[in-house]
Amino acid sequence: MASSTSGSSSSSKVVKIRSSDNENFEVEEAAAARSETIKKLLEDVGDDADVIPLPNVDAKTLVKVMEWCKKHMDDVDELNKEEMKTWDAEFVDMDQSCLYNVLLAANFLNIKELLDQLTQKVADMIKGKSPEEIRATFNIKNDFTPEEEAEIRKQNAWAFE
Amino acid sequence: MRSTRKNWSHLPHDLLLQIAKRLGLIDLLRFRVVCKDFLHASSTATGENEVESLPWFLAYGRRSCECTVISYTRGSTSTKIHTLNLPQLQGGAICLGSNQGWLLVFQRGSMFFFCPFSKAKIDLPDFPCTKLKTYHTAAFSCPPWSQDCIVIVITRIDNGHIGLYLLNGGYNNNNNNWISYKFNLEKSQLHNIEGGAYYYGETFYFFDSRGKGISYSPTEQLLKPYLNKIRRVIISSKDDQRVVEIHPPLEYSKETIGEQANQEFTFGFSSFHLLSMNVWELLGFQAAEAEFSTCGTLTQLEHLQVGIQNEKVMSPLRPKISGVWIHPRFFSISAFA
Repeated sequence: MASSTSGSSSSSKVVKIRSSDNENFEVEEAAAARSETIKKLLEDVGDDADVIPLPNVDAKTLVKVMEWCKKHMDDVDELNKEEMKTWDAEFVDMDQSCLYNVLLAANFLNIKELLDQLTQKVADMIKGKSPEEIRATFNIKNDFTPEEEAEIRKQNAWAFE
Repeated sequence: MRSTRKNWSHLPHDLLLQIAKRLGLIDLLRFRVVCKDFLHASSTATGENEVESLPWFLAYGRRSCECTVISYTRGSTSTKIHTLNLPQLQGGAICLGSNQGWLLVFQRGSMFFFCPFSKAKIDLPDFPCTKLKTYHTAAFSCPPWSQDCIVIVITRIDNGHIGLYLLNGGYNNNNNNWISYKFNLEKSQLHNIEGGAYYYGETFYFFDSRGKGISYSPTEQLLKPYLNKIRRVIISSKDDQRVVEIHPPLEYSKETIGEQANQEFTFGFSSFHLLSMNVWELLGFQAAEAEFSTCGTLTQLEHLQVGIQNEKVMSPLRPKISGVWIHPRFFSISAFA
């Protein structure tokens, strides 16, 4: 994967970040700073920063996260809100493995708004499903004993009818 | 990273909690059964989801401990009826107040907070009387385990006086008992206090069924007449959608709506909520075929604080049904206390 340089305004500052699988990316500082984690690292190292390593995020996930950051770089005015909503809805509509990675990355990179959107997406996928369906959807092993599960269900049997 | 399917139970618990906090009550209860990580991570999620849920109706107090709950959602008019076994609400229990998922229950002199969906019960000091001879209603600031929780029970004693019982969990920790006050207040200023009791913005509000009210600020220890106006809120169903009419209508401007609503008006009232929410039919009664006595709660509709009023519908016919409007929430004591 090639480095994604921003071709737009030449005046904007560019920072370098490196994924866990050692790919380097150049991103506009304003976009990268949507991540509180990167912002803090930038403040700490100042202008001496060479490349900021992000040992928890692989390249594929980082590309995805930076795509969101670039889109959310500037404040959105009232007119573009609807358009942005559509873009965000399409953005979080990704395959599950990807969603999982982006969720973890957004958590590590501390991008609150993105995290809100992703946790909402997961919540929406859970809504209306039975525990069995949730397990199947998210590949989760039921680690309760049958007795434990029956006990928890019994407390609110009405919710499982 | 490998492209095998991810195991979502391995997500950090704070992420699982953020997801769980976006679920309404029923989805949360199902979430808790998925696996141990989901259960433990979500212990402080309460099912609070004001975007989607409206207060539910809980009918209690018949001879058996079987209670009926009607669940409502904002999006559609579809409802569900659930049966819950709640022995805590048996034996002459009366719900005096309902706020954010907690009920304040009086039972033969004892008083307790109760969350019917988690069965969490918090006992309070015994109430000064063992029997309520007049109509009592109550409001409380939330949550009940907080040091700052204040409970106020109010009643009309006679034509010239009202009685107010206050329990202060906060500043008075060592002296945690009911304090009773008697105020001179004529019936013409405030009739029997059967309209409702609400806590909003650090102030308690008590209303009679004619819309007259008083406010009480615990910090100032001051009782004042309620001089603001009250909007009328009428809820109906049309084409499977719930329609909320507000009179006079809120003047729409998204930014100022909160302020505007508060300048002249603090509340809107939904006075015939049993009828609006179709409770009669859902419980299988024709209108006036049963006697109802209900306790209201405060909710938000269209940016307006709406007081669901207490209702008393008399009928010569049985059964006599006690009910309470309750926010569908789940509180596990171990997680909060």
